[in-house]
Amino acid sequence: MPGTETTAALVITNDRWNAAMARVAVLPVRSEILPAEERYAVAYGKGFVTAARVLSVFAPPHPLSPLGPVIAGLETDALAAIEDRLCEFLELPGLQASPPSFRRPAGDTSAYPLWGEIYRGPVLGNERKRFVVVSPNDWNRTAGMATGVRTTTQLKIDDIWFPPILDATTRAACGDTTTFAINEWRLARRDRPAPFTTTSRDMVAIGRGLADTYELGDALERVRRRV
Amino acid sequence: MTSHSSRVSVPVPDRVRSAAKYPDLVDLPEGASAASIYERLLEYGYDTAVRAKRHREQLAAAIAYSRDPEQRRIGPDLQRAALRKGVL
Repeated sequence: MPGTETTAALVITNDRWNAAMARVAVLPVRSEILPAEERYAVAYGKGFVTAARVLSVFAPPHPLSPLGPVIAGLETDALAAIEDRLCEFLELPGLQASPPSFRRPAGDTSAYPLWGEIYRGPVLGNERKRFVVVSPNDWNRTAGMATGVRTTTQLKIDDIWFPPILDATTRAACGDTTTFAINEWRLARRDRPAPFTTTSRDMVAIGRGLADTYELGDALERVRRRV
Repeated sequence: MTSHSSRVSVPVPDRVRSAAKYPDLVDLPEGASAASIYERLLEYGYDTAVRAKRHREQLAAAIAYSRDPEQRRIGPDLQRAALRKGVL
C-alpha cells in the first residue's frame, strides 16, 4: 500500500460482503502509530495493526487494488485482540448494550468531525457525498483524521448492512466505512447537509451493521463478559 | 436482553423424535446419544431456517449495492481520498 509506514493490511469485512463487493474494508499494518492510537492497535511483526484507520479499498484482482497477495492469516489471539480494539474504536459496546448507552458528545462542530454527525466528505464522482462519523471524538480532535460511514439514497433494499437512517430513503452502507484526513471533511456550517445529525436509533442501527459486516459478534460477547 | 441456556425442555414432534434412531442423517456415528442427535438437528435447523435465509438476503442486498451505478462511479475516488496523505 502507498505510504512508507504502511506495510500490509488486514481484511476485516466478512466473506459474504467480500464475495459480492469489489471493495473490502481493511486495517493497515503500520511501522509507526500515533501515541493516541496505542489503545486501538495491536503489535504485529515489527509494526502494529491499527483499528483507528478503517479503509475501504478495491480487492484483488481489481486493477485499482492497492493490496498485494495474501501474506498470512492472523493468529486467533491476535485477531481477537484487534477485533476488541475495533469494537472500542467504533464505540460498539455502548451502542449494542441493552438499553444502548452512549453520550452524544458536545463540541465545536466546526473544529473537527463529531461522532454521530453528518458531514459532506471529499469529492466523489463530482459530488460531495454524505458520511456519518463513527470514530470517537477524542481521536477525531487530535489525530487529524476521522472515520465515516457512507450514506446512499440509491439502494432500495433494507438490510442490517444497509440500515435505513434519517428518513425512508437514506441508508448507511456499513461496509463502505472509511477514514479521511481532516481536511477532506467539510466542517463549515454552510457546507453541512440537512439533516446534519443522526438519531440515537440511527447510530444503534449503524453499530449493528458495522458489527455484522466486520463479524464482531464474538468480540462484543467477550466485551460483555468482561464488564 | 441476551440470555443463553444450555438445557431447555421443548416438545419434540413425533417425526422429529424418530430421527434419534438415524444418527447417520445428521452425520453422527451409530450409537450416538439422542441428545447429541437432537442438538445437531437444532443446529442444522437454525442454519437452514435462520442463517442461510439471512445470508441469502444479505448477499442479495450487497449485490444490489455493488451494481448501483453511483456506487461504481465513486469507488475509485473513495479509495483515492482515503489513501491520500494524512491517513497513511
